[in-house]
Amino acid sequence: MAQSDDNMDLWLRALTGELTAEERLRLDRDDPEFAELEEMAAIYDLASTGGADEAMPDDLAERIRAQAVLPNAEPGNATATPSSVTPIQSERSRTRRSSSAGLAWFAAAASLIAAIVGWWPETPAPGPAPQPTPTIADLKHQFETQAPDLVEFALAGTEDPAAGDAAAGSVVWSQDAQRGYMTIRNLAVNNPDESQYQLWIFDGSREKHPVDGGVFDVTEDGEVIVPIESKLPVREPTLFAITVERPGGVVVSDQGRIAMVGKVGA
Amino acid sequence: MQSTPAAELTVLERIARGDSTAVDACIKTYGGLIWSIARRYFKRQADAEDAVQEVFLDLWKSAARYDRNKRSEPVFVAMIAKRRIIDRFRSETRHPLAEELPATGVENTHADADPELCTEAGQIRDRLGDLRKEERDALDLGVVYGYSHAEIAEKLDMPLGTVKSHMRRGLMRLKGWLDDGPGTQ
Repeated sequence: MAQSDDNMDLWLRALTGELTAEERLRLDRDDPEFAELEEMAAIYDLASTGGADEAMPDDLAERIRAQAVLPNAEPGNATATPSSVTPIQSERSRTRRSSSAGLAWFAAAASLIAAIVGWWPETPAPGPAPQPTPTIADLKHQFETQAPDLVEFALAGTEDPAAGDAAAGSVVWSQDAQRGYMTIRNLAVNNPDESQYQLWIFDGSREKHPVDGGVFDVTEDGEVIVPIESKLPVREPTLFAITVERPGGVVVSDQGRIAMVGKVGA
Repeated sequence: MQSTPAAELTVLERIARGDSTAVDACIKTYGGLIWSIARRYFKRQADAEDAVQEVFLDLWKSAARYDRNKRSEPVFVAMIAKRRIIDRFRSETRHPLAEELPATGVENTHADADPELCTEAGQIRDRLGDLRKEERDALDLGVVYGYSHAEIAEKLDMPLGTVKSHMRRGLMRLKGWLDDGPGTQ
């Protein structure tokens, strides 16, 4: 994998998706050696994250299965690949990307449905009754019963106005799963257009900055449960801190407003 | 040239031959891996789902390019998944930190990582601690989480050129360990 500095710069930018379309085309066409670096990056990813971490949702798997068209499929086995295939978008994604044309379709569809419902005979719904969607409390409880290496520690409010006099809470964290939940009481409700809360996980193996634990909102008074998903592997968690940041969060916090802190093991 | 007996074909090799019964096996084997990569970039579940569907479409088309003599199948799948997901992520000009956490928790059950998923990864997993901390931080941010080099430089408080040097040296070191084979120090 001998390379010039220019090539290496191009390769590194390719790994983080920072190439122009023209550069990408040139790389794929003229530079087969890049595949070696891309391979190393994939292996590093697999080694450092352990590969599969979350199970794919069943309904997504079903959509992929239904949509699969294989090249060289035998007759009766699968259909030939069309020249252009467009992925089926998820329901929420379709809704998000709808336009005024969508409204016209919706009006037309609504009229049609109303006409059909008028004469369609009532039939019992086939199949088992849908499972109720688990609440965040259910998911936390499930996590607590399944994670073998769970640690729990308290969160305490600071003198920041968002913490008031009564903010308190706790964290459950699984080092193996790299996940956890915060239960927070009496932290001030925030306006997401003005500010958001951001969790930071201080990692003893990293000297510079704490690891971003995600941005969240407190939408109601009383108790809220917030899932924790670290943006990076946390090797030696020592302290969890909640800061008040601009909407969307920040890459590096100046920690000007720390609302709550919790020391691991305390 | 001897052909591989059908019973010994990998999932992608079966896909490449048009064996539709391999679709289920492919989803089962690699669905969690691809989904996990997508979730790192797209915190909105709908965006992650769209990205994963694109990856699988690419996999069906790319399966014929898989060569078991060059690399293992999980690495091939991860390469395709990462490239497709990063490209989609950049085209939507989003950043992981700007994404919202699920409002009501993750909807997925947590599955144990498969230590046997990839022999190459297993070979270097125990050596990751031998990487310099700066190399590992740069690789975590750039390779695992798709931060741009400028973002990494800001986050790690180091010059852009230094970030690239750490990434390059880290990847070269990994390649050296793989070339040396298992068990080398």
